[in-house]
Amino acid sequence: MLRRPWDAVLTGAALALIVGMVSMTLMLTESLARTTARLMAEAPSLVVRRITAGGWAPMPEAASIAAATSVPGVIHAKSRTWGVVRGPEGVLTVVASPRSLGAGRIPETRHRLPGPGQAVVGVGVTPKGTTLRLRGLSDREKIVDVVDTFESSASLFTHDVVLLYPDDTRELLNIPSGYASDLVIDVFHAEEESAILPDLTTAFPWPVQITTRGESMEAVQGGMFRRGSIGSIVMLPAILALVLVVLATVRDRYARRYEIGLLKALGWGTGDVFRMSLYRSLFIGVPAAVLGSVVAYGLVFWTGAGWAGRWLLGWRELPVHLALDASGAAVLLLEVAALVLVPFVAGVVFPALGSASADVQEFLETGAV
Amino acid sequence: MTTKGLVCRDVSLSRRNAENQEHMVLDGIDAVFPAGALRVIAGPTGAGKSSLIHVLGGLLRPSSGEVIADGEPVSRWISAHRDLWRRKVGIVFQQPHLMTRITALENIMLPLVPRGRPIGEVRSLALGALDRLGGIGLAGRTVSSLSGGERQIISIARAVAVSPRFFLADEPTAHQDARGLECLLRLLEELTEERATVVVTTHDVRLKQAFPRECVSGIANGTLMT
Repeated sequence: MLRRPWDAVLTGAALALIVGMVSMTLMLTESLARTTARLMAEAPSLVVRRITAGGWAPMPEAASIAAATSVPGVIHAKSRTWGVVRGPEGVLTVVASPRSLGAGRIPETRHRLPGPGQAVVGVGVTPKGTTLRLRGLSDREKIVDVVDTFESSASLFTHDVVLLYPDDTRELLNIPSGYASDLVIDVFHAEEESAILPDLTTAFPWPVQITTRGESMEAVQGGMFRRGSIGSIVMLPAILALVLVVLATVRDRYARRYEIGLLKALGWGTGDVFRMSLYRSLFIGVPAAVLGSVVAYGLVFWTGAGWAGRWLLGWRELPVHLALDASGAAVLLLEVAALVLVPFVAGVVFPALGSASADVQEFLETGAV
Repeated sequence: MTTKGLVCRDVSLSRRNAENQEHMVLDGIDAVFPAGALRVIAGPTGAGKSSLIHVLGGLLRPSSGEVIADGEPVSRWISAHRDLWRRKVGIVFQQPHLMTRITALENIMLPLVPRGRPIGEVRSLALGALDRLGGIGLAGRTVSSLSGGERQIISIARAVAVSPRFFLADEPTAHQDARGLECLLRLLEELTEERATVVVTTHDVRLKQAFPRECVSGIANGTLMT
C-alpha cells in the first residue's frame, strides 16, 4: 500500500466522504428522535383546551382546575398561559412564567424567572442582554429585556420560546386575568390517560379538546419518520457511492486472486492471507470511518445543525441545537459500521476466504507477471 | 520403512481444455524422487512437466493416485494442512510470478513472512539466497526494471530462501546464459548435498547434458519414462 499510496489515499478519501454523508444524516435523525423522546417523556399526561365555534378560547382557571380534579385518577392539574406572537425574525411562542414560583428561579434548571418587562428566551431567539420587540394579537406591542436564555440541550422544545412575566403574557395575548390558554393534567398511571377521557370530557361545562401524551408522541414521531425519510433520500447518493467503491474492490478480485494464489504457493496459509487482507482493509477503512464520523459530528453538533437542517430538512429559521447521548452515539457507530465498513471490509477479505478450499493453481492462473 | 522424499503413486490429472473437453495431463505416473537426489524431467512443450511440478508442490490435487512426501499422503490432505506443508517446498515457476509493487528483495522475503521470524533474519536469509545465485546487486531493484533472466534469478532465490525440504523447478534455465546456468547447477548440487529432494523440469539440452543419464527421465503425453 505504501508503494502505491495514492490508491489507498483515494479509496480512503472516498470512504471518508461516504461515512461523513451517512453519519451526518444518521446523526441528525437519531439526535432529533432521541431529543424529542427525552423531552416528551417529561411532558404532561393530558392537555385540555377549550374550543368554540371560532377556534381555541381561553378557559377560566379556577373552574377548569376544579372540574379536572373532580375526575378520579387525576392527581394534578395546572393552568398554562401561552400563545404565539410575532418576533423580529418570525413567529415566537410566548409562555407565562409560573406565578407560584414568584420571582425566584425555575427549580429544575436554575433559570432566572422574568420580572415585569423581562424575558428568558430560547437560544434561537436573541442573545442574553439584548432587548426583544414582540407584537401580539391586535398589534399589541411590547419590548422586553432578555435576562437569560434556556440551555441549548433543550432547544428542540425551547428554541423559539419566550418566557415572560404572567401579566406581560396576558397583555400580549389578550387573555383576561383568571383565564388560561390550556390545562395540563397528570394522572396516576400512564394507562389512565385514555381511560379517563370520557369522564374528563363531561366534567367540563364547555366543549374541550383533550390531547394525550401518546397522541403527542405519535404526532412528533410521525414528524420524525418524515424527517427520517428525507434523510434516507439524502443517503441514497452515499449508498450509491459505497456500492461503487465495493464494486471497484470486488472488480479488483482477479488481481487479488492472483496475489492470493501466489502467496499460498509460497507457503502462506488461508489465515495469513485473511489477516493480511483484513489489516489492509482496516488500515484504510478505520481512519476513513473515524475521519468521516468526526467531520460529520463536528458539522452537526459543533457548528450547530442549522446548515444541515436547512440542507436536509428545509428549515428556514431558528435551527435547533441537538444533543446525542452515549447510547445514541453507540447505535449510530454500529449503523455506520454496518452500512459502510462491513461491506468494504467484506469486499476486500472475501477473496481470501474463497481461497480456503480451492486449488492454489486456480488462483494463480487468473493472472501472471 | 518410510521413503524420504517424494513418491508418486499412479498419479493422474485430467483438466478441461479450451473446448471444455476433459483430457489427461498426467497419466498414471509412478515415480520416486528420493531425498538428497536430483531428478531432471525432460520433455517437449505440453508434455505435462509443469503440471507434474504443480502436483508435486501441492498446488494441484491429482484426479487420482496420490503424492506422498516423507511418508505422508499430502495430496489427500485438506487445504489448510497442505498450506502448512507447502512451507517445506521451494517452487520455481515457469513464469517468475513476482509481485510488481515490491522490490526484488521483498519478493524473496515473501515466503519467509508467515514463518514468524524477526524481520532482520528474514532480510538476511533473503540476501543470502540472492547471494548464492550471484544476484546480490538486484536486491533493491523494482521488478519492472529486471530482465527475464534477472526475474528468474529472483524467482529461484525466493524458492531457495526458505531452505526447502523439496525443491521443485519448472524450466529454471529458460532465460539463463552460461554463467547463470553454471550458478544454477552449483545451487542444485548444494541443495542435493543438503538432503533436499530436487526435481527440475526442462527442455534445455544444456541442463540435460549436465547430469548423468540415470538422473534424467523423459515425459511425453503425461506419461513419465525412465
